[in-house]
Formats: sequence, C-alpha cells, structure tokens
Amino acid sequence: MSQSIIYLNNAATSWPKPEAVLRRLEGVLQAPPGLQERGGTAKADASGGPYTDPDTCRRTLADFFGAAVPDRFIFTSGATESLNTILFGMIPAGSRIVSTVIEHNSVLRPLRLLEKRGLIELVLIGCDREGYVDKEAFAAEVEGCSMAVVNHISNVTGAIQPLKEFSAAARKAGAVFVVDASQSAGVVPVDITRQGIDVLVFTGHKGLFGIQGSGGFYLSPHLECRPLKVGGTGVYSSLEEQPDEYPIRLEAGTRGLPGIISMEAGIQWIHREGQAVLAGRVDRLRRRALEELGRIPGLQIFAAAPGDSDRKAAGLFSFLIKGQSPEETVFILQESFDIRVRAGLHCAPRIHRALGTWPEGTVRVSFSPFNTDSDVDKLVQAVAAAEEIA
Amino acid sequence: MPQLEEGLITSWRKRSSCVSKAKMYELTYAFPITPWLIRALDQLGTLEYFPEFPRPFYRLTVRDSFQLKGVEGAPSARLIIFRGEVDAICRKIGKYIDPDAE
Ligand SMILES: Cc1ncc(COP(=O)(O)O)c(C=O)c1O
Repeated sequence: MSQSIIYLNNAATSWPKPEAVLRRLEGVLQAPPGLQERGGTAKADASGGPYTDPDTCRRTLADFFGAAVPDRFIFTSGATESLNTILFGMIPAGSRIVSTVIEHNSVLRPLRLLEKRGLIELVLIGCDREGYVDKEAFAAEVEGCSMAVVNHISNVTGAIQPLKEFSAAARKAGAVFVVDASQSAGVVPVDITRQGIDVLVFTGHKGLFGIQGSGGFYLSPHLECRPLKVGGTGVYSSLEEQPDEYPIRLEAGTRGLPGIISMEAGIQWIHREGQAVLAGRVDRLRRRALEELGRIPGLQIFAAAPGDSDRKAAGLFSFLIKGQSPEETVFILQESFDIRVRAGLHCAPRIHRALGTWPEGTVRVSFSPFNTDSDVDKLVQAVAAAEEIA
Repeated sequence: MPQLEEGLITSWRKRSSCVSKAKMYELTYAFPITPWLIRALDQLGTLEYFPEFPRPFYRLTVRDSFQLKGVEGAPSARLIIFRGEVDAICRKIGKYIDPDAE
C-alpha cells in the first residue's frame, strides 16, 4: 500500500527516510542499551556502523550548523519543546519581545501565554502575500526588545527569510536572536556563526531525515537558560539540585537516543549526497509543480516567488481551488488519488490573515529529494480533476 | 467510538480538525460501499458521483444539514455537519440505505 502513495507532506514529517538512517536505527535498537550510550565499551553498533553517543552527535551538529561549542547543543523531543524551554527559560519579566506573523504555534502560543501572564509585551511583524517578513518594520520594532524570534522558512509559502539582515538588526538593538529552523535545518545551509544566530531551534523529523520526537537547540555560550524540567542526568547524582553544567542542565531524564542517532545519520546522508544537490532536486520539482499548476484556471497559488538574492524559496507552497474547501481538496487527493498533502492552517494561524486564507487555510504541498517528476505530474492531474468538480 | 444499530453505518468517530469550527466525523460502514449503495444515497439529497476517478469519488450534500463524502470500495466515509446531531444524521442515512436490499 505505502509503495503507491505519493507523499507530498514533507514539511510535516519527511518520508521516506534514507536507507542509511533506517539501518543505523536498527543497529541502535538491537544493541544492548548500556553499549549504546555513554559508559558503554562497544566501538561499533550492531549494524557495524561506528559507535555513536549523544556527544558525537553534538559534534556532528556543531560542524553542520557552524557552531563553536558542541556542548551547547541541547537535545529535546523537537522544536516545540526547544522553543518552550527557551521562551520560558530565558525571557526576563517585563521584556518586550518581537516576533513575526509567520511563526508556528510552537512560538506563538508560549509567547501569548507569557503575554497573558503580564510578563512580556509582544510585537508581531507582518509579512507580504508571499510570506516574506517586513524587514524594515522588524528593524524598527526590535529596538528596545530583549529577544527576537524569527521563523527561517514559512511552513505555508516556503519563503526563506534573509537571516543575516534580521540578525544584524537584532544585534544592533542588543536583542537575543532566536531562529526557528524547523523547516530549514537540513534543507538549506544554516550557519550559526555566519548568520549571527544566538539560539537555533531545529527538529529532527523533517529536513534532517530523523524520526519524530527528535530535535534540539543551540544556545550560544554567552547565554543562560533555566531548565523547563529537572531530574536525573546520569552524572552528579549525589547533587539534589540540577547541575549547572551544559548540556545536562537542560537534559533531565533519559534522552531519546534513537532520535538523536537518526538525526546524526540523516546529516551524514545529507553530507554524502550533497546538500546543494538535494536542494536543487527539490527546487526543480517545486518549479515544475508551480508551472504546471499555474495553468489550471481555478487555482490560487500562495508561493514564495524568489526575486532578488534576498527572496529565496524552499520546496513547499500552498494553493486553493476556487469553490472548494482545502479539506475537500485534500480528501479527494488522498482518497481517490493516493496523494498525501495537507489542509488547514498548518499550525501557523497568523500568516493566513496576511494571505487572505483565514480561517480555512490552504492546501500545502511539500517536496523532499525522494519525490520525482512523475509525482509532480500525478499531483497536477489530480488537482485538475478536483478543480473540475469544484 | 459510539456504536449504532445495524445498517450501513456501524459507528462514528469525531475527527479533530485544524480548522476549529468544522464538525467533522469519520463514519464506519458495515462493509466497503458499493456503486449500488452510493447511487442509493441519491434519495437523501444531491448526489455527485465521479466514477472516472482512480478511486470513484462521491459527495452527497443535504442542504443546510450535512455533507457525506467518500470513495467507492472504502469501508469508511467523512461526514461534515452544518446543522444537526451526528447520531440523528447517521440514523437518517441508515434508514434510507438498507444494505440488505441490494
Ligand atoms: C516552523 C515550524 N516550527 C515548529 C514546528 C514544530 O516542530 P516539532 O514537531 O519538532 O515540535 C514545526 C513543525 O510542524 C514547524 O513547521
């Protein structure tokens, strides 16, 4: 059954995973737990691959994301837990915080909660109809803020924000610059040092080709963060308080080792294939899809349209069929054509007001390097058929 | 999952929707729905049936009340309610469509 599915919902969770990731996971799950992690003596996992512990993965992440201090990579269950840890653990009461309307609920909801508790003043910067955030408004509003939170890639239109310009404005204002790289990690180059990022949030189950429930964040060495949870760390067990040392300060409880290793295996696969090659493949599919779908008369497309070098787009976009709810379009594509796309607000409610797609949202198409031209052609045929019966 | 008396629909389950206002349910049929039963839905409202789709799609709309949609051969369907109660609507569908009559 799964073989016939055309999966175009990679912005939610990427599928399929590279063989190399599956093999590494199998090895980890087959090895006795003590040998998998710190304190173990094995030098190779059961699949014959090199022995890995979370600290090896931290070095891989530091190398991949251009960061100097591997121990400042914290593992979590994903971007949501990372963002909650950062937003509840770093913002001083009475702060002014700037963010954007393209944020996911994993940013908006913690910030709204802090606002409701009277702890912060929140300013959200708008975007244009393609999902590019207003840079000038950001630069003006970040003044006087203690933190700025920006989503690198819109998970609705695919617009890639020019991070360097945002980080320069945040730095000038003395605000901590937090980037939600959930949609960009593994998909486009992310460089903490060169892009001036103070805190980088990533998830494992999308562009890094890891499994659900994996992810983390990078906290620059000059910053401190209070833990969201405290508990066992496997070391300093005689202390009755959470140790101050990173990363364990923020990693109470048994870590999700399979998830951590899946991310590492994903990054190694991306290195082997070449990130630019993979991105080029996805970009070609996106262009082909937009060109072909653009010929269907009753379609409204919401896609980032790259212009100058600051307007780049990732391999996802949204559309609507006139006279048909996104829910119905997705139902038809899934049930009649075996094509998996996603309907609704995509957990990013505010951007839909800018796009004019509130409250029903859009149909979102998101590619991975495993998709093919034939997938695009089948999508176009299915959308044309759905449009005819709208 | 609430169970209904025998008939075409055996049970229903509320589906969580990203869009908060929609009242959406997944209905389970007693068996995969046949072209004959799909055509029989016609008695309830406006039926649209597209047999040329890879898996033939049908959509029944009962004005101001509900929409039922699914594909031929599937053991389930989606119900979207504009007005009315899910149990009552399922019973109404079940009353008109008698699977034993085929
Ligand atoms: C932009 C963005 N931020 C945050 C998240 C949440 O990620 P996670 O599933 O790792 O909690 C997502 C994923 O849906 C996302 O697209």
